[in-house]
Amino acid sequence: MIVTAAARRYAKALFDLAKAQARLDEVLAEFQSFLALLDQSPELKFILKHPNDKQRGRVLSQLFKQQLSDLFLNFLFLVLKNRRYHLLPQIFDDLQARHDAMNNRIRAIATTAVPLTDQKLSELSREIARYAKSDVRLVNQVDPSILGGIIIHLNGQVFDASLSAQFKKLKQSLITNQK
Amino acid sequence: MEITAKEISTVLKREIDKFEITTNFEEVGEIIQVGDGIARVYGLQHVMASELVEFPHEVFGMALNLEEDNVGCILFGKEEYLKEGDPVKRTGKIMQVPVGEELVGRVVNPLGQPVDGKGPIKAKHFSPIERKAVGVVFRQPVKEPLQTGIKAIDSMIPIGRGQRELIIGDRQIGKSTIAIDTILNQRGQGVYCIYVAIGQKGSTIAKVVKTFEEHRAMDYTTVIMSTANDPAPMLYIAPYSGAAMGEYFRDNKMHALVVYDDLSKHAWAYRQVSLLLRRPPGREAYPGDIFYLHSRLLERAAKLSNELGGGSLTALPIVETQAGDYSAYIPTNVISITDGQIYLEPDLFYGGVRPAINVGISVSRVGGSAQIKAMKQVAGKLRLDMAQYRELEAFAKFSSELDKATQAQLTRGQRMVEILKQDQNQTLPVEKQIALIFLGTQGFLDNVPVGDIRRIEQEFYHFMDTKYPHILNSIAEKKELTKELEADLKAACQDFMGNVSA
Repeated sequence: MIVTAAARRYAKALFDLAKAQARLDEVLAEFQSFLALLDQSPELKFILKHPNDKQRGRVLSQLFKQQLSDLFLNFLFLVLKNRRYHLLPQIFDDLQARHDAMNNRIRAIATTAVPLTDQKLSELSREIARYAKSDVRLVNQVDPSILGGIIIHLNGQVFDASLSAQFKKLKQSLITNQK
Repeated sequence: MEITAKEISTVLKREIDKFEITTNFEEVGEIIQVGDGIARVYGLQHVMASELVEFPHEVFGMALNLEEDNVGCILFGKEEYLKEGDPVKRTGKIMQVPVGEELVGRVVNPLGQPVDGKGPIKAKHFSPIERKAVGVVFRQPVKEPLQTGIKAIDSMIPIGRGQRELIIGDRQIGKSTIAIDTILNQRGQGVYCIYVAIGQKGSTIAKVVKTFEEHRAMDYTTVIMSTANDPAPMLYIAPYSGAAMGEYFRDNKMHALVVYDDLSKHAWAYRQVSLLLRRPPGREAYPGDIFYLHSRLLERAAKLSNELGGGSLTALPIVETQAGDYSAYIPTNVISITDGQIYLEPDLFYGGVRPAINVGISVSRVGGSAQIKAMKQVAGKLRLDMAQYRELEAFAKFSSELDKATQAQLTRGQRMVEILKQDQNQTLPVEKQIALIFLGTQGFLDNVPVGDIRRIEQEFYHFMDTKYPHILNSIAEKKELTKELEADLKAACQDFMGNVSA
């Protein structure tokens, strides 16, 4: 996900506050469930997008007073007041990344043509952990168009050992070496 | 020739056998936005300024703007196939072009790829397009002449090897012609030429290449072409590629001449790129570093010290003015960077004085050290004659009664103007220039009607070639008019004038 500079600022603010109050995990969980709820409820989306600040505030606090902490609710109000509703997923993403960085943990995506077995997955994550010298949270994505092999996305870096990429390279070398 | 299917498969097998797979972690970003020759890329956290980046479909780009949440790149290729979300790879290299003798006689695009259909260029050397200019200790003052073969320039505005001389004037009055003639005149002089066409019409470039071919100038010339329909980033890098190719010769003890035709279009291209990258506009909407854009380019022209081999790179930038406005932004910038300028004027051009050089305000700050001694000897008088003529010319229009001395100066001046006229693509070796200017400044032509001078000029060359070739040869050899040589030349001139009578 593309995280813009603005989203990063909000994420940093929330992260610092939550960390100071030692409530990081709690806030992250709240954030995640809130985003999940948002996906399911068009009415909630409508309220969030609504420009009437006062009414919206009242409705939201009535709805979530029980479930959400004051910290997260205040954060939500600020984001909405500044009309940054659309940044919420990005802020969550960045918040998670900060949390991972704090715990020396990185996220990696392994793309394969067929789903990896659990054993392979854990072997792979051990190898990546050794390379990156930190804990790895590995996610397996399946994309049959790469034909075979594996593509690993890690912190903006890509390790492309897929069959399709190698075919492309082979084709290129056959074209250029003929002269 | 017979090719069997088996042979083909053996070759393919061998290639496939040799094929090695090396995979590394690569830093990859993705396109956020693409269009107008630029792309914004998300990611590429560690990309460096001016680094080459690779897009899909073998399109390359250069990272110019490193911003907080995206990287602005210019594209050197077709953007039509690129789309949002495409991966962009770092290469860790900076932009470079092939350089060396292999490029001589070729027409290439600003990336150094051939566009003349004469097969691939197997260059052995590559050079980054942006290089730091050589430092002061590695240079020496300009001292050898670069003969343009144009009388008005070689006699009064001499250009030396390693100099930067601006050619400036309105459209369609012969700026490119001067540069092209200079290239034509380098035949046999040991100077490699590079002609950089920036944003010109395809037909114009084709015509220039044809002129070079007709005069066998492609034997020592490279043409870098970017046409008006090329994307602006191509126009932007074209002169830098030209400088890189010229620097190869300079750094290997050879001499090179590079013509930038023209830098106003280069500035426009850079303005377009800068505005699209959202750099703040300044005067005339040019970005703040427009001066540096041209100064760092022209500073690469140099005469190297003897320790470094004494090679040279001469630059002839061309700037087009709008309706004679020399005080516009780009002209003043480039004037202040170069070591002199040649002004071309429409009034002179339409008045039949061609090349339309205004010798009064054109200067070469290198001056006499870029002339051979013989030329210095005759040209001093010429400069004086022309200056006096200019002073009197305007004044003489008011009155018809002039004293003898004034009238003599006017007659002389008119003949000098006539002598300095020259047809397109008709360059002249320096010894003939000297002989002709000698003929004029010594007053031999004062009694000839002005209308006949150009005919007599041709007869004079023919006469000298057939009857006194040894005089021309010894001028070319000694590069100096000794007492005896001067007397011989004078005698030859008298002989010639005796025959002209008609």
